[in-house]
Amino acid sequence: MKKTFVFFGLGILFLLSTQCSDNKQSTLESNNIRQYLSEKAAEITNNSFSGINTLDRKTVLRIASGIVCSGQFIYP
Amino acid sequence: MYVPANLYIPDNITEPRAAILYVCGHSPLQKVHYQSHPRKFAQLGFICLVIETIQFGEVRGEHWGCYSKGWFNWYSRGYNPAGVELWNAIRGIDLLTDRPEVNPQKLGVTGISGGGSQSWYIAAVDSRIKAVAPVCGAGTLKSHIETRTVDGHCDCMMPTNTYQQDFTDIGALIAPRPLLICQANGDGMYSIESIRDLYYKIGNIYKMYGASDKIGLVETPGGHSYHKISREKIFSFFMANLMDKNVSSEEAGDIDDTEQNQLSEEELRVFTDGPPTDDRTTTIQDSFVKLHGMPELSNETQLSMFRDSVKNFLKIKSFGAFPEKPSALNPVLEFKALDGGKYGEDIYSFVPEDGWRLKIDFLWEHPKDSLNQLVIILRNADEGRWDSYSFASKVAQGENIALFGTRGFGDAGWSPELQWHIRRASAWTGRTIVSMQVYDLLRCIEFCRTLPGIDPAKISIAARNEMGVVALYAALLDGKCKSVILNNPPETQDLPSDPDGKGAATEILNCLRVTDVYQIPAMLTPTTVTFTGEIPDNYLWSNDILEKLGKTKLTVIQ
Repeated sequence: MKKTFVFFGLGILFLLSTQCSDNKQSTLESNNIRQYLSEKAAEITNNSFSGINTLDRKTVLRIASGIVCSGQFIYP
Repeated sequence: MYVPANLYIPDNITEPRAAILYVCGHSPLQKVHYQSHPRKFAQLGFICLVIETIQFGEVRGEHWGCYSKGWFNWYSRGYNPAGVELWNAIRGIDLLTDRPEVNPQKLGVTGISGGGSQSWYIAAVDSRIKAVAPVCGAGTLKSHIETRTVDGHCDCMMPTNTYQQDFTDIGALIAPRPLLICQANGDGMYSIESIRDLYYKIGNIYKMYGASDKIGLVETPGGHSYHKISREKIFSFFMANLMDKNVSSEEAGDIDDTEQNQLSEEELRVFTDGPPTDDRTTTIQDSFVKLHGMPELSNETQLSMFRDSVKNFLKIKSFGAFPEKPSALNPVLEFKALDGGKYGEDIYSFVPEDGWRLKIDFLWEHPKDSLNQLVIILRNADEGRWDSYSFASKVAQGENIALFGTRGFGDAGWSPELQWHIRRASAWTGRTIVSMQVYDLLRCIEFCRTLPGIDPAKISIAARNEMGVVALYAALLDGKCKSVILNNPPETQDLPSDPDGKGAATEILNCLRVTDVYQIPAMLTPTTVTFTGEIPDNYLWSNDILEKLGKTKLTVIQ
């Protein structure tokens, strides 16, 4: 009887974990273009100028982008 | 090109003065509508040049190519009207600095809405600008896409986003010069939260310079418009930063927009007899960006160099939004049957990129214990029930077949109504529908190469109509496909779409700067290219190259 109860309990746990896994998959792989583009836009906004915490690093990026300080715009 | 502009000069100038470039927003009548601003600047002692946009003033060029005309080929050209506006503004600064009344060390820029966006761009790229006050002209990309405020914006309100950047990056290029961001808190084009986010992040950059006092945010009540508070703050801001005068906003005062004090359209008109006959404003979208040529390729080395240069360009400027690290494919066998192909059918799904799970339907014509050829049939979003099967029967000659739908098809599709929004929102995030589909196909090919029964070196792609663009670019990037089979592919990517944005999308960011779809077959060799039906005329360029170099020419299956 005790053994049966343990198996029953394990079965419930398995079903719950499977259910959770399915929910996770459907959220992660929603095939929803609006959701996808919103996430990508958020990534861009959140990463915009992230990780640049010194002026030296900023200057390197500014030069690399083709913009110089003489008032001239150089086409990349 | 000619830019209609009015120059306001204070009376009785005895020495060079600070100057303001006032860039118009998108209101009709432009410098007539906004005239009280440059007049006020002149009353405060500034020289002020007010310039019109390319669409809404005395010259009526095109500002809304993707927005309302279906000219999504602008994306493929890498053209954005903001680029022309920016160039015009730079020339406006050139004009100001040439004037004896102007102190070229004391220049500022301001404007609202479209003029607000331009104020950001101009200050970022031209360091002659020493202070900038954009009004209702920028928000975060995140907010634009999430809330769909992108749908209300003209094409110039976000640069072609080749490098997936946001206005924080633009603000970083302005720092540490004085920047006063003005924003209405009920603006239907920008959420106030997104402007606060921008201000906070750009503020951190100013902090790096020890210049936190050089950036400010003015929030005003109301919709997408100026407010007395923002106007007075702007006048005070420029007096402080370009004239070294500390004058309160109340003392600086507001504009005078009473009707009796406005000059008429006729009085402010520049082209009294109409625009000059040689003005290029109305057609500038056709020549502003230098497009690809038709190179003479007379030996294999030249062809190889051309292919490499195109691929290198595309990887950076067209497909730069491809994930840096591919996701795990995580394939799942969704369905299995003994029908379908001679050796049964397997339907798999796999993950091309986080957020997506796409299906591929294999019809096995050979046993899986030996390696055999595979033809991937690309499905079209608008295809009929049996179209792909019918196409497969025409192009496959005993090979295994796989029917594959990229995003945009079936379970991974979207309603036709959404197509216009998706095309614009994708481009704002540095991608296009085609670039996403090319990525899906590349991951699909990668997956197929992992399966038993498929010879990794003998995978072909077959595509109809617009999916031919996807097939050709994917084959170019992959470089190892056996063949590409096309039915009725687009002659070029440089054609407009329906104005409502529905239907086939063929745009790829910037690609027309280096190539066009009809040139890809020449670059694919030794991958062969076959057509069902006629070879479109443009593709004969590729055929000529292949013939000249002794390669397998384009062929036709009747």
